[in-house]
Amino acid sequence: MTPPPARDRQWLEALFDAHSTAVLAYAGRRVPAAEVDDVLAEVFTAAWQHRERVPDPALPWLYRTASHHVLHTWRSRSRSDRLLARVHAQPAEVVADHADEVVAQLDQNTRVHAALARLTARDAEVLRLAAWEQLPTDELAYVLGCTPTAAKVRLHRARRRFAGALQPPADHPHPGDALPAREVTP
Amino acid sequence: MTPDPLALLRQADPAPSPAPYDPGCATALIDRAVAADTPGTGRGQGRRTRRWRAAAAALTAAVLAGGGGAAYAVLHQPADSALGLACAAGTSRQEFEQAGGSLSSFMSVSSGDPVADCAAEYERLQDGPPPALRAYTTGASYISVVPADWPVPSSWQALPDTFRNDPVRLELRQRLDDVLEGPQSRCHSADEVAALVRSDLTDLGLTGWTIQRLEQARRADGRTWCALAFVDDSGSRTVLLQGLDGPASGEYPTGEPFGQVLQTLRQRIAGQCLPLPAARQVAEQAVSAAGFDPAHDAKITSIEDPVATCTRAYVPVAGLIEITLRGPDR
Repeated sequence: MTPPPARDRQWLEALFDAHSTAVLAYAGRRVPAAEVDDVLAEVFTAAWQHRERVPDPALPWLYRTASHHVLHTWRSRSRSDRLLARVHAQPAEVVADHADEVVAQLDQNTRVHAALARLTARDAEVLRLAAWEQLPTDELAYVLGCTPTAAKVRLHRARRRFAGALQPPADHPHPGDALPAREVTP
Repeated sequence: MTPDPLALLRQADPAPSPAPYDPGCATALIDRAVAADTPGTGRGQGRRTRRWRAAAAALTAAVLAGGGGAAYAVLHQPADSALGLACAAGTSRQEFEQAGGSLSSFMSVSSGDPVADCAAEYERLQDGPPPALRAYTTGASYISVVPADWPVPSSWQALPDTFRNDPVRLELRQRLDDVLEGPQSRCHSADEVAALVRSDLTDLGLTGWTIQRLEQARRADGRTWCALAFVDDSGSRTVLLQGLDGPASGEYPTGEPFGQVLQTLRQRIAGQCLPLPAARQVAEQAVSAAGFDPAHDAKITSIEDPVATCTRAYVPVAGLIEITLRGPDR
């Protein structure tokens, strides 16, 4: 029987090669660009610190660790920075001379992000993990710190609420403008 | 046919295919990770502290570059001005130890008593009595509260049981963060927000404070920034103003649940003159009417203010509905 490989520098390098892009994407979806590198560094430093405890496969553990650092990042920043970051995390504004289909997609994305922002943090995170990180149920459960059954239920409920949030409000004729930017004259 | 919500979300992925990390930077990152730490030393906290200090220094540089000339004591935040709270509710002892003292449940300090706020969060999450809790300063910009029998990093300092946040500074923060009637209730210009802040400072009897505008590039679309205000976290008596590249947080459509709660609170508390118990009842009803459970989806904090005539309500943007009520008992 082959002994497990030593958890030395080569192990960390291999771990980084295998998963740094996924962790970068995870962080890039949740914190401002300027903070992404910090999250990445914290996650792989934690992996080194706790190398004897990092499971194999490691990716769910890395996501879970990243989630701690994402929360820390947001709460360490001033509230205004968080608000700015949240807004900057939205897709770019539509530019008038783009092709129609690109405009339509950006409108759609804006609507989707606005609906996501209306959910609770718990609902939004389970949906992000399922849609963007595309985690299967058991890994989803690990990252969320619950049982697979509970993860399934949470995803099901979040999905239902998200579908509801995607519906245009009755008093809002233009769903893409659910949260309109307002022009102000100082 | 209704499109699959998850498929729509996948299409809206803000980072669908990030570029691989630069190899040179990767080597440097791994060098630092390997050289910096041995397992279980809890030095992650030290790294975070250094990063906080760097960020604070950068903020100071930005303010000074903006022509303010104010001096800031940025390297350490006094505990009574640290109005963020990291609470162990929802985190197991094992997770806490594995994360080197990092907590995943954060909230604003509502009552001024961090232990009481964290205890309320335990009750909200667990439907049971909280364990004995202790509050600590950690060198970061918030207070951490964990069960009293958990071992904590040696750099943490326990706060006395009698510790309370500076109540006036706390209310100022609540006013600035408020989406009912405060700066974030709708899109205000920087001048309008400055006027609101001046009024708040006067109301609260705060003197010797300055309002500092952070220098900011012009918006790409040529429009004026919607401004927001926040207390400088270093503990100085400074309110900073900054533009927000988007709608104000209080501009939720009234057709969606959180927007309904805001509308009800504006009409029935901010627009009326209620004693504290009646205002609390209104808040609970508003939360319920919007389809939320007041016990689990909301954190409603009542603070008696015997000299007030009417109850004031504050709502920040948070992961759950946080409503703080300050008013007379009758």
